[in-house]
Amino acid sequence: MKSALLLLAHGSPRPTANRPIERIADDLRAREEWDIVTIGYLDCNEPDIPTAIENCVAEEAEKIIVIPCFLHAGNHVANDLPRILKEAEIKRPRLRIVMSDYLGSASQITEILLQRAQSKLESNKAVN
Amino acid sequence: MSHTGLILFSHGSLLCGADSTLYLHADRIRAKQLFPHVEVGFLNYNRPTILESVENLLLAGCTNIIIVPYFLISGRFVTRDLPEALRKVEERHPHITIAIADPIGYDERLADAVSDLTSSAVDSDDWDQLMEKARMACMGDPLCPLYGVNGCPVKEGVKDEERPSV
Repeated sequence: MKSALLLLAHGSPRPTANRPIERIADDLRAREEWDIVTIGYLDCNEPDIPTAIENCVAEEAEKIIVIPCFLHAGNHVANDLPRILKEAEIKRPRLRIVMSDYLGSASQITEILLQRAQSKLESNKAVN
Repeated sequence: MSHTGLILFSHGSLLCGADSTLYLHADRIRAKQLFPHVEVGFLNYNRPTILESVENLLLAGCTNIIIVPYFLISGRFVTRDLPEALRKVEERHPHITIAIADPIGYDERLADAVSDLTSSAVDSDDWDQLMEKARMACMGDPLCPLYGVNGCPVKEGVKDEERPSV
């Protein structure tokens, strides 16, 4: 059974804003744990989420693991994403879609924030 | 480092409970005890505002403040709106140093985070968990984007006094 990892991102009119998510997808592809690793955008960029799901189905994925790559448990995560994914489930009844907690809740994010603070503190000391 | 204060800075949201993630990270950072003063500050919608959190750190005796943007990239909120907001407080308190750290950006640990999250993925029957969390934080605010939708306590006629307190 082919499985797909689908990263959901907000999207941005500025193409450079999507670079972090694209690089995360590249890192995950390199791990070769999933047959497909792809990104779906809620707004502004292609593919949108329904198209990304259809692309996975076209590549014979039977299970899609969806990771909301959002920093906050806001309206998009609580309301928009489940609605869009449930519509996709109705359209493809044989497809299994599972969704994880949102990226912002991860402990790694805390570690990164702390490191950003410490790096700034160190660089300020070096200047002064 | 005793006079260095840390502020996690975010945009803020009208959704009840959406500010909880920033508090989660602040609590985790406090627990590590590397920075004695850790605050959160918002640009819009939530309190404390970034200016209020800077003032809080000044009252706590901090003369050096590091602001970490809780953003994936440095967009206009970080590069324009944040420095504009800080200018007022810097004029008022010329003896303090405020530095803005890099945002989260790309980091190789983010792939680890995604990989770890896959084990928590659940079927659609359980996708309402986040709505449940929003319910728990419901303030009955008509500006909340989920105000009155299915699952909102207001829609279900829950009286103010029966609503979970924040």
